[in-house]
Amino acid sequence: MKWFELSGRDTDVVISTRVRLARNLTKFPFPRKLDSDKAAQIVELVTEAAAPARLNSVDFDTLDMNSRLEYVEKHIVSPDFASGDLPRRLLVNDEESLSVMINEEDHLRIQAMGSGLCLEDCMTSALRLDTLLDSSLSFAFDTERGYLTTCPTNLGCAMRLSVMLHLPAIIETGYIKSLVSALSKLGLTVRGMYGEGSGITGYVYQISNALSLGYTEAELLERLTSAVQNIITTERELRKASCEREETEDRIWRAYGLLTNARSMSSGEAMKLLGELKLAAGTESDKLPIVDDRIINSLLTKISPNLVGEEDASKRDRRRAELIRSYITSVGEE
Amino acid sequence: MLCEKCGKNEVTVYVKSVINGAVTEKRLCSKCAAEENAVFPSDIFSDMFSLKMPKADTGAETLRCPLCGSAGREIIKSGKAGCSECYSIFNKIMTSMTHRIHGSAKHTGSLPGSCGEEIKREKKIEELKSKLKAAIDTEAYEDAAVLRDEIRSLERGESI
Repeated sequence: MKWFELSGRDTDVVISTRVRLARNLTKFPFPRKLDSDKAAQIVELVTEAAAPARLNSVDFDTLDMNSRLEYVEKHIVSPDFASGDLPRRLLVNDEESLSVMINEEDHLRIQAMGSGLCLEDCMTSALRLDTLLDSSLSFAFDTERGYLTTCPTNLGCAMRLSVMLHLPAIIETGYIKSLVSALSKLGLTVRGMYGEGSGITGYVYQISNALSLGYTEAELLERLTSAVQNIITTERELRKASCEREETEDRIWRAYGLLTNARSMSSGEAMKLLGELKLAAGTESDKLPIVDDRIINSLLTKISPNLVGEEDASKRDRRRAELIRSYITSVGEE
Repeated sequence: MLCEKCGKNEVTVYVKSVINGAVTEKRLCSKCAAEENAVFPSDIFSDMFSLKMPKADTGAETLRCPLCGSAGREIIKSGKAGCSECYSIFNKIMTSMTHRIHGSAKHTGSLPGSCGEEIKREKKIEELKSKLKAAIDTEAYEDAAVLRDEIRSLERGESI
């Protein structure tokens, strides 16, 4: 089982949680200034240091493009890591919940992921792997600036905590604008589903801390957790109010009808309909189709183009519709 | 030409997107482009990041880092360091860049193993002192006494 197929907390609103640490080795140029030989050397050094964690190795410089994109769609690697041309390797566990990108923008990007809201668990496992690597590698560090990174925005703890949220009700009511401005005052940023520069897809937003210099890890954790809890409560209240209206009831059933019957579906349409279906999640209404959060959340990942497979776009849309039907119907029959 | 999406306003933005290798092109008005979350080339505002170096420091622009070969000019332009040494070689540039982003904040988070015992002790004392201040502010004098003793023993050079 992959992490996104496992159950978690607050999955009616929170799709997934991710914690990422940036680390660099002393005595080597950062990846943007690195030649192939030194890059390969770093790949080996880090792999050796990580050996006790028993992670699988995936060499990205020799991997075919489709497999690379699959990792992007599963949010394990960044689009930049997938398209770069330096020797670089992904170390990843079987559940794909713990990983290290070697030679992304920084020498190491340590990442822990989980289903639903699990910031503390993710932070703990990322920091544990960091401690293991730190015992045999020499990380670049400065007492005032913290961990030294390619981009000065990442200085300090060099830690980014992010939470991926499904916010159909907040978006539809227009409260998203005031949410975004409130979050920016708290030093939190809002981004699309695939991270930096990826735009907003469907009803999915990613919220994370913008900076990590001047804060301890515990402070960063506390700040994001309390903001997210606030958002969860609001989204639930708005969903409940919206579901009391007949138009919403009709829309949710229509979304359900299309998802369980359509024979061809683009990823954009599927994202939109899954968002509408999610309006019913957590309301415990007996008048609405309630689909297990785990099914909807894992479908959000599974319906992306490269994970569906198929070269031809129209075949892919048919395959996607089939996939969605098989998942959502099987739940109804359980 | 009218916007492809709303069909009402004049086209002002030409959005080309490449999603998983498939190129799509749209002619939109600025309102629809904003709704589509069109992303503009990130380089447009890169100058905002660039620094005006004081005259006395112009030497730093042509100085090169011995480890990665970056010139100061390059770092100013890209807003990125070439290696960990750049942070000390181009201390002024990096500090000014860091201040723009983080203000005068200093690192208070965890420390790596490579950091000497002395630094770890100093950081620990700083942390305990701020806890002590908080304890006194909330009149938690028993906690404060414990913290004061811990600080004293660290200051005497006992290990953490």
